[in-house]
Amino acid sequence: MIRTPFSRRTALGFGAATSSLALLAACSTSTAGGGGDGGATGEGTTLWYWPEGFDDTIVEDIRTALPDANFEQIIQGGDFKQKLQTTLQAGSGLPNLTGIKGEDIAHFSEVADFFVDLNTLGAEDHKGDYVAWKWEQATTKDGRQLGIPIDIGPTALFYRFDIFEQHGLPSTPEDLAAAIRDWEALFELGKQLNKADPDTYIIRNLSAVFDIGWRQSGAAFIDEDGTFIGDDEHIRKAWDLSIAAQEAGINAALESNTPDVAAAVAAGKLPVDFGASWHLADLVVDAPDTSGKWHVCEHPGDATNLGGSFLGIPSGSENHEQSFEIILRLLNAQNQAIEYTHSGNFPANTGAFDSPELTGEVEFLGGQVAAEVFARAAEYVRPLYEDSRDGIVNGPYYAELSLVEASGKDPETAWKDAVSEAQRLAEQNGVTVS
Amino acid sequence: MSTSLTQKLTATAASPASAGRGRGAGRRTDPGTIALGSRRARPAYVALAPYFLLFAIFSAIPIGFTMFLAFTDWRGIGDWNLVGLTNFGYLLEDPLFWKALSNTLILWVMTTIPCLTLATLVALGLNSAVRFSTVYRVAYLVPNITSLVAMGILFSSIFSSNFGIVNALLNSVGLESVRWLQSEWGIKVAISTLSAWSFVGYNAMIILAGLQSVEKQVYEAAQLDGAGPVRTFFSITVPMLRPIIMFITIMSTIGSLQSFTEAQVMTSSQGGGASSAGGVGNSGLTLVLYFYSVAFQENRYGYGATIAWGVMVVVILFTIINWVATRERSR
Amino acid sequence: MTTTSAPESSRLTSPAAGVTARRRRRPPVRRSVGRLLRHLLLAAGALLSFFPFYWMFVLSTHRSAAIYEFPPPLLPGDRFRENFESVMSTINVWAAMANTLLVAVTVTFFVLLIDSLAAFAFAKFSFPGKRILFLVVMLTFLLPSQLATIPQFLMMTELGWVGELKAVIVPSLAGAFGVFWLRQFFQNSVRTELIEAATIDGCGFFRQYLHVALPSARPALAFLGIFTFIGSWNDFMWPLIVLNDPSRLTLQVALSQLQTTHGTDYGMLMMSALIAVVPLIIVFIIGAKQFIDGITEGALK
Repeated sequence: MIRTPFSRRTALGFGAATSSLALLAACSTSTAGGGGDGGATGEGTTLWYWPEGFDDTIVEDIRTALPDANFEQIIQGGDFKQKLQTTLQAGSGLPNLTGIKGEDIAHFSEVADFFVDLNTLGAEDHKGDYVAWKWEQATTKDGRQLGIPIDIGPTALFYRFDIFEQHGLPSTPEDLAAAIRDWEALFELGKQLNKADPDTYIIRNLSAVFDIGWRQSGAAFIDEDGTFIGDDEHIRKAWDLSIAAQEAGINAALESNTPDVAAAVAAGKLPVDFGASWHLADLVVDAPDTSGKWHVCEHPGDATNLGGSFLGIPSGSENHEQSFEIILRLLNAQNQAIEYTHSGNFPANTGAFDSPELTGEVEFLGGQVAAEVFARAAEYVRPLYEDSRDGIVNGPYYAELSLVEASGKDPETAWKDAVSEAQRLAEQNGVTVS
Repeated sequence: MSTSLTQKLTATAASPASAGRGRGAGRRTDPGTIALGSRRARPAYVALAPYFLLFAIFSAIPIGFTMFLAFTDWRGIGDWNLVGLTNFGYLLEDPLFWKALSNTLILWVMTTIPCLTLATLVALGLNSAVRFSTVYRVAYLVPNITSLVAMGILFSSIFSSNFGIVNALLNSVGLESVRWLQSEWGIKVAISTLSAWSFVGYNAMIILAGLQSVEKQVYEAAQLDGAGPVRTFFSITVPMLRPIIMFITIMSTIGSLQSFTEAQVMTSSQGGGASSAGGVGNSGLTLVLYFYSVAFQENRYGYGATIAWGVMVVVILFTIINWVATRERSR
Repeated sequence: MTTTSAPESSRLTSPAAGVTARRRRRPPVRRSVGRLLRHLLLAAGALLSFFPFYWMFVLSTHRSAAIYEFPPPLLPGDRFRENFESVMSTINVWAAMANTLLVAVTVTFFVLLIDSLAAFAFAKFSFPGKRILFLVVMLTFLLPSQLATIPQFLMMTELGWVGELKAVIVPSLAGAFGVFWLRQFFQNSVRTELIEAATIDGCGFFRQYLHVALPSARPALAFLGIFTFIGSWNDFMWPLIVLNDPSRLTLQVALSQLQTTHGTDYGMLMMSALIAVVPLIIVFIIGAKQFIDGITEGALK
């Protein structure tokens, strides 16, 4: 079954079906419930997933291939991690398989007993099929495998080529990528755009730069020995990079995931946005009218990884072998290629890279073969050591950056405040502070 | 909560018989109640039983458990260690906790004063307007029946800097746009507007009930004495309404100290866990939102439970203040 | 303003007296100007109060892109049907609504029953341990419900109730506010002599509750009932945590599935909020008459 990538989504852009990806996602919800009515939890083999869901055809594929499993996908709205964690702790009402978001994997690694070590089910044999650094993200220090990667989130730069063209800037992905090998070049370009149209900015907010900045350094805020390294040079460099964007006057200072960002994107006032492949889905929802006017290319420096989730098996559930079989089938090359067209999630299964779904043109991106860019970006992602407390300790940096952009706080004071608050949190949470 | 209105209405009701029985039982009897000795009290206990049974199982035990967690380092899953009072030490020197406390109090003032003033005005208006009264009442109560989550989302768009209706209004009278949800005071204004707006009608209804319980003869007497509307308002209506106003103030204090949804929905777009919770400069961070971010988003249940202790202490402190103030007044 | 209030409300009981009282006071012209002004202010306030709700409706009839225009649209657009159909085809709205109705009605009924019993005992009787018990009620009322969430969930798992509607219903059956509110009301409007008289007539506690307390508390019960119903209908955090079976979701939880991690379709989102609130408004309009009449009636007794 061959489809044009994003065909369903671009149809949305034309206004045939009004709604968003959410619609597609929840369509799978209603099917998942086994017709919606009778499907009570626990009768069949259940998969918990967040609102987005695996595509209907994939769910159908599992049901056809493994009819005895009575497979159901159950969409859990709200705070997914919270629900999963509490259910794991309680030890009953568990799903047979569950999604685990990339940002939560470090947390769950600390309580690895709650999940089946997939190596005991032969996961090792399939390691070669998936992107190596993503696979390792779900490997605990003592070598247990908590999950199989669903997708990866190599970052790239989305931009409105029509606006770039209009202002005489490099507009093809090749030209632009070549022109912005370093951040200074991109910021310079942003200044030109801003000069041409004073309401136009190329940075959504400083956090967006910082996000990519520290990940490019190859290390996070806590090292493998549990020592705080948030005051080291590599974080300071990422901080300075963010401040440089502020000083260049190219920062729109809009909060992410708000209607304000959506409005700016839709109006062409934010013609550049960083993001992983799934970010395309955001653009499609936020600015359907700009379909066909976007391209994607490499951003300055190495690509980093944002997001990308896993499928795992709670150890308290039953029939682990069958669950593992379902995982492998859900995440095979064919199904992951379909998932790319469904949600924009870029497969972690390298076998999907050459599929017609990935090599097809994306209408929203002006007919560009976007997967080429992301596949290339995936090769440059440097693995990071992630500690479950990174998210706690790095909070102050983001908070202080938002003070710099929103209230004009002095960057140097902000840096000092961020570091001392981060150190306080590190100490409080058992991280060594030297 | 003791109320002068209550006492006024029921003072005559406390009959000698009941007072006598009260003394006989050897304990203090509340005015206006019938004393039941331990032998005859059984039906009263039976009446209270369902409430207290449910309360014990679904409130007391869970809250007690949460309180216990403050002495542990539990991360929401897996085992925990007892850590004594360590978490309480952290709490005292946690700038975010104090920030959350001051935000909560500021938001309380910013919400309660406008809300109470408007509610009184609306109630006075409704008390005298006969025509369309149901239409008015429905219009004023609609905010209170719509889910806060939906209203939070709606208000985020109303206060949006780029396409919000508030800025459209400001622009139309020649004023500059304000970046409401990206500035420290803007966030507070937006949150307290939402809270006040959703409770004006509700409070107005309660005040209205109070107004209508003021007996008409009192007004007529005042009118015959030649008292004007303003004097009548201050010398009759306000004193009569005091218990109701106190009631609403207490409710509103409790509501504010527990406020969570408004701030959570209107500032939840920021990532970065508890450090960024409540928007720019944590200016929308309320106590309960802080508890939520620490426990639920950062998996620090032990410390979250310590914040819960903090919330409890503050709430009890305020109740005592309220209670003392009410007693002083009613004397 | 207040001076006219007394005659007007008194008209409900004795129209003639009210009218004469009013005629004596003020010249008719000044009075009608005053009344017009009052209505104008009330109407302006009502419009302001109603406006966000109206705007919710307006947004629900537009596409997201139109909502992002500046100045924002103030009149309904042409996407009502599309947005409505999107929501309806995404979520089983009717089933979720039936579940929510079941939950809200059950909760309301039991809260009224349980709370009024407790409130009656607290309001009209003194018995050993009363003060301590009431203090406990106050405390529950004071503490944010979020504090109990996680242990409560673990408890639900122990009971095997996770995913079932009773996990939402049962914990909300004992409402501290109701006890507090009804106790106030019983203190104010149920005369102790009546109860004493009933006692002398040989009525026990429960017959006094049934024949004396409940009938006089109708307006307060209507008020509490409506707001319990509304609270239950809109309840979000707890149901979201404890419900996970797609066929047994409440409306608010089902609608939350419209919000994905990706951008938000505001038109559809507002449509879903509208769908959730319309039944409430209907219930409210029906009930409002009841309790507004009730308040007036009860107060003038």
